[in-house]
Amino acid sequence: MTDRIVIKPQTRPLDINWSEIWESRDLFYYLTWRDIKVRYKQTILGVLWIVLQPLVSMVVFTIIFGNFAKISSDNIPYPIFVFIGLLFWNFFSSALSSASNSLISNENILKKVYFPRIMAPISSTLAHIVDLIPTLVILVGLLVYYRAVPTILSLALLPLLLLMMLVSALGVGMFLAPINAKFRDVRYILPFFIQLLMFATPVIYPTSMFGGTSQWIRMINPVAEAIEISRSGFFGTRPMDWPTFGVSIIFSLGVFVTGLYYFRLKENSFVDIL
Amino acid sequence: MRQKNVISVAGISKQFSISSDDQYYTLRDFISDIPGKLFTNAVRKKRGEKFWALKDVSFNIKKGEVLGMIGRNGAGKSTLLKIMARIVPPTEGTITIDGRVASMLEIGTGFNSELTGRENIFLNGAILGMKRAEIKRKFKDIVEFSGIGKFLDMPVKRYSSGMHVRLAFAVAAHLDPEILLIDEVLAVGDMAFQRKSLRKMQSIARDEGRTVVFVSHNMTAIDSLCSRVALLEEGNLVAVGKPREIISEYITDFVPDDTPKIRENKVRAGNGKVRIVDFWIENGRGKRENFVRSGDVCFFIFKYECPSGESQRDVDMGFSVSTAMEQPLFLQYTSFTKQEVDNCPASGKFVFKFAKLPLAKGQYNLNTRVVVGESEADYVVGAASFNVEDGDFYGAGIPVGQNHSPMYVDGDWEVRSD
Repeated sequence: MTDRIVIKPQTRPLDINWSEIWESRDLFYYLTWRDIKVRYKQTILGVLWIVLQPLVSMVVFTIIFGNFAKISSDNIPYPIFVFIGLLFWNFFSSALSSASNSLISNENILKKVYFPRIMAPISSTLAHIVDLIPTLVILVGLLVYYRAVPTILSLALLPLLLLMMLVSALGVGMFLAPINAKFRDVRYILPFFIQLLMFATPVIYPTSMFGGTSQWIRMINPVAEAIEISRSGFFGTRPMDWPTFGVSIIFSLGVFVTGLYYFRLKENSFVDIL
Repeated sequence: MRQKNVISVAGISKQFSISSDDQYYTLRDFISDIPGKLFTNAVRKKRGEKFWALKDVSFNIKKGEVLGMIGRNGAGKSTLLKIMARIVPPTEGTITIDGRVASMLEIGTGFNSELTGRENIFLNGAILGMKRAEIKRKFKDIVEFSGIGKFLDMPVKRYSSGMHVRLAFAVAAHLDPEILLIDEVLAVGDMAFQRKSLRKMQSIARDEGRTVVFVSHNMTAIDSLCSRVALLEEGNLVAVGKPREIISEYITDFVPDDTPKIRENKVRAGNGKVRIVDFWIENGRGKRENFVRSGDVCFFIFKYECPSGESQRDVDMGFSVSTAMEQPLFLQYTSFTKQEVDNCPASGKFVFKFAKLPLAKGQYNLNTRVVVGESEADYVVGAASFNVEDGDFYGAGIPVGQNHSPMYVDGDWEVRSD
């Protein structure tokens, strides 16, 4: 019997029912589609906003940090320097914040229907991939404008780096989502926490500012590593540091598995709390 | 031929912890509780009050059966259904289900008001467990059944509530699983829509080979839809059997016999200066009765207590009566008749006299509310239920026996010539 369901008190956290997830792929598609659709319907400028937002932040950051504060940018023109930082950071932080809020934002559905709970954080992060498309187009424009000669490797690594952002954001998000559902004040602390994370990440300043500890920071902060690899690769400022990248990938996967484990551990008791 | 079991429920128990004072447990509370936890168990005890919503429930459902689940508010029906739907896990026990399950615990789950009717059909269909191809195939039927026609591409936020409900029901009614779990979805919309949806539910339930579990307070719907009925009482399964028998057992079981149920009711609001703890009905001679007849003289007795042990000033007691389908019928406060209680003893009974009970045969629910001064002291939703049997409301010698509506009105007829 293929359709047999056994309902028991406790499931083992890492015992994931893949066929069930595959069976629910249409729901997964519609949840992601809903998130994308609603987001662009709610903002007045809609699609225009996702094009404007990174451009406006780039201009503002360039004026404040590049011109007034004169923050070093490793001899890379500051506008594209900060744009690369923002590209990864915005993708990471919006994916993280959506994943962390995914249980609360889907509360009404979670309370009334069953589907593999893990779909809530995953579908809400995937919705942010769409935002990347115009940002990447602008990036190409900037690279051409500043006559950058990116290495083939750095371009080839770009999708992998974005995937690393997604995986680590999901990892942290899946860890925070059950906590967010339980403690109702966490949602007010979260944006603040994410903002603090930004300052710990070389978005507006170069990795080299950390000096000797830079390597360690890049290992445990996947966003820092992604920014560093892209900046140095696009402008050939530094050679590729494979060992650090390797550790960073392993660290991201570790974060993902930890988040997944915690989420699965708590997923049975969400609805009692929500 | 004996059909095989498609659902077997074995020893299901569910424990909930009730945190009475704090609905929102915050991280701040958690942190501030830590010092207390280190020294005593007091904090943990206060928050960790547990109760069993279900206790060792076991039964089997055969293929093609329509099982109704009945019981009072808080008997555990909905909790059991939610466990079967895999929304909440059981604390103990196992349920085995063979077949594709869909649940309808409410209609319009996940409807997004920003999206259009068309988009919501797809989203809601997917949430209810339909495949994309299946929704596409049934799309025309769904739109036709809902009757929203030209509003299909309008955002749902601009729909009237009636259109909203019709669209939501239309999607749900086109579910086609082997096993369907339904909770009270019929109790929405106007009367015409309720009839239409009841007919649709009947055709769904009678469909060959489909197994349905149906939770409702609506005994008429249970009686007409179900082939078997399970009665739950305070988390225990007390009887399973033929609809008529179980329904009558349930109805005659409305004795305020053993324990005062209202005292334990957790669904209550108010500051607690006065608490309603029990309710019963007495006939015109002051004898406690299990049921009343239409047109009877009777007394509704509300036993109350003031937990502080002190008498209270300026007390306004009220109750409301609604049908089993939660249609409100009337509301009665002491202030309506200018009979507020100026000085209310620390415990006692509020007694309301019906000179002539205006209710028709059926089952009714009762809410109670007490106001002390300006503030709500006690508000209990679903405080009690009671039954009314046919009676001679008009004193014409025989009961009218109407089942058109839940109320009788007093009056006289005459004919005037032009």
